[in-house]
Amino acid sequence: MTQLTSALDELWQNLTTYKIVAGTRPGISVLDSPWYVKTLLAFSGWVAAIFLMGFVGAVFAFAFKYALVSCFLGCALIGIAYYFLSRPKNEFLAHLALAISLAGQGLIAWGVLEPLHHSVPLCALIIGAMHLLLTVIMPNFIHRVFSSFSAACALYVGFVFSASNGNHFSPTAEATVIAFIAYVMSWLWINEFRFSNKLSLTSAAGYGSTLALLVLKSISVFGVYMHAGVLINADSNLILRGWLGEILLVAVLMWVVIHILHGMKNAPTRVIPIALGGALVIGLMSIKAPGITIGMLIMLLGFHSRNRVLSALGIVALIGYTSRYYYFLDQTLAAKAGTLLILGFVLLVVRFSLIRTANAKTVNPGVR
Amino acid sequence: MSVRQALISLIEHQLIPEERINDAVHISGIRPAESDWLAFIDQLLLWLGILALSFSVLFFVAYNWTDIGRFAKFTLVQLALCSAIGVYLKFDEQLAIAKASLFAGSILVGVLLALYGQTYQTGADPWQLFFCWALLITPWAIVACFSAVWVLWLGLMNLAALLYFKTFGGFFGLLFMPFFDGEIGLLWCIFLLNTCALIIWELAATRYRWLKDQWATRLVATTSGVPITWLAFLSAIGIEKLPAFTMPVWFAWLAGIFLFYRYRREDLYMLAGFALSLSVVTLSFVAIQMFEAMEEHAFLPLALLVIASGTCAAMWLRSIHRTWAT
Repeated sequence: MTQLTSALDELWQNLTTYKIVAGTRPGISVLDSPWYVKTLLAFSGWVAAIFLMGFVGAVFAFAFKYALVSCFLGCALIGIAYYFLSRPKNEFLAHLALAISLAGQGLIAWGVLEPLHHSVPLCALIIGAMHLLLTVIMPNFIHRVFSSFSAACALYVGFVFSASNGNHFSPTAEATVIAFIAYVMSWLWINEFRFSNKLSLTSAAGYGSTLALLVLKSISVFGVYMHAGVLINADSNLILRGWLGEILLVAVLMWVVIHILHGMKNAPTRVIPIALGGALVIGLMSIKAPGITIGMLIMLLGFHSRNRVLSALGIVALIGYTSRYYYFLDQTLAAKAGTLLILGFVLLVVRFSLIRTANAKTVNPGVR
Repeated sequence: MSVRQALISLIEHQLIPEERINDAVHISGIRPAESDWLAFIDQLLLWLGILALSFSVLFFVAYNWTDIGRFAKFTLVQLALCSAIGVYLKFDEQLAIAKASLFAGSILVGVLLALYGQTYQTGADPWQLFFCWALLITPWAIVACFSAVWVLWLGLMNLAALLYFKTFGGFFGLLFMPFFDGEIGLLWCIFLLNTCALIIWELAATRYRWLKDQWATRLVATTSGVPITWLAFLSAIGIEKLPAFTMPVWFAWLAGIFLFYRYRREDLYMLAGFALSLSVVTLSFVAIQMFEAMEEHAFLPLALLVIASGTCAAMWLRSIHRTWAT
């Protein structure tokens, strides 16, 4: 066991030197599955859940006719899933539990639609609360990622629909709820190691909220709901009217930058205003090109926690949202070219200033 | 295994006292030091800045400002192109600034071609623009020693193939028309192009270390695997009439991926793709047969079958992961 344990041995040695741990390192399992293996499992669980729902629909067809029975059956399935997940680790049972739970959630969602007269905000509130509860109680990483993702999506749907007046879509409400999810995501990643007994929960909720943020912002930026005709009075320029939410996103980005700078004990004083200024420029740019702040935010958080999956998600988000900028109709391509020209120069000047300031500190550490 | 994973493992097993977790996080080096942040921001701002400048030229040309003469427009684009290449030549080719400049230069070649087409109304088909663009940046891709330029090159080739299909509805005229027309033909074309690219890439990577970027080979393999899996899926469920060689080609692709990435160049991502492709196609075939025979009674056994296949795939991948890590 070389590569597998060398990092652990080295870390244990370091922690022993600083008297954080003592004695010989206990033999523990350390090899976690890569993200794509977890994705494969989540995918198979999701497909299996569709078949299970088909089975429930075929065998208990009456359940779909009576809301109460549907909810009761859904709760029972979630209870069975919880029982399986609480058992000593068994791969097959764990994946079966995931599929059973997803089928149960589907039944509950079906069950609450009718009694609430298809009121979208109310249904979203109940489904969101259920997923929030499942995020906390279900002892399974993939389940928690899915539940936290669904909870964030339910919050978005509930908030946007309750703030929309009839068919008149409220871009401010939409951008504000996205900014709130971005804040929750940032808080979770920054405090990832804060609660030792809840590490799996914070990490899973962090991934869930990140994925939800990316999906919801994509819906907003690429205007998917408009094509789907859910809110027919919305038009593409409305996306840009969510400036309040974009400013809130800038505030979240600044909060993350301040937090990171605060954690650096030896950061040169002059670096702080340059870093904050740079973050502010990028953030303000996002008002005209929505999504850039989110890409930057995820990249920063990924680098801050040395999480390569998170960093890669940030890069993909940045590329995807920036590509959309070309198609926004609120300003001409000439104006966009001018904006990009200024942004390019500003970014290179900030980089130059930052490197120069940092190098000056390295050459003459006495000068602050 | 990363330090991050090691620390998470120790915390999860509650081997670190809660009040000392913050100290452990700092000692482990998970939080980047000032120098790490500086390097990160240096790269980030450099890339964003250079790409923003390149795209500003692209947007400007796309605007097609009639008040500005063609001479001024060509001067602007060629000046930007020469500046990018000038920066590349000035700095050491291994430095990020040189790589970013060459990448920007590769984008600006396309802008120049677009401007040429816009000004002289050449009447060329759109696919020709992307094909010529890829052709013209080939020498730079060769000297760049940078996989991102090759990914751009391959992306342009894919785009050219896609647009060729949209224009002519087939490929290579009559030679392959019976098999390669319509959307099915496009899938075959994308598959063949990216599979050839993957084979050449992997062969070249044995000689050139810079081609061993994991993200790039994984991206190329994904663009090769998705179309062939989709073709095999369509063949398995029998919706589309596909040529008889579809399944043998899919089997050959599976065998190639498995043998190469299991025994020659270890890559768990590729094996996960292999497992996913195998599961999707075989389970789709089984599902169709079961629904025909059992109708709605097939739901439960199918759900269990999907879970079993997912579990087996995950256990197999984990065991390989463990074997490679020891």
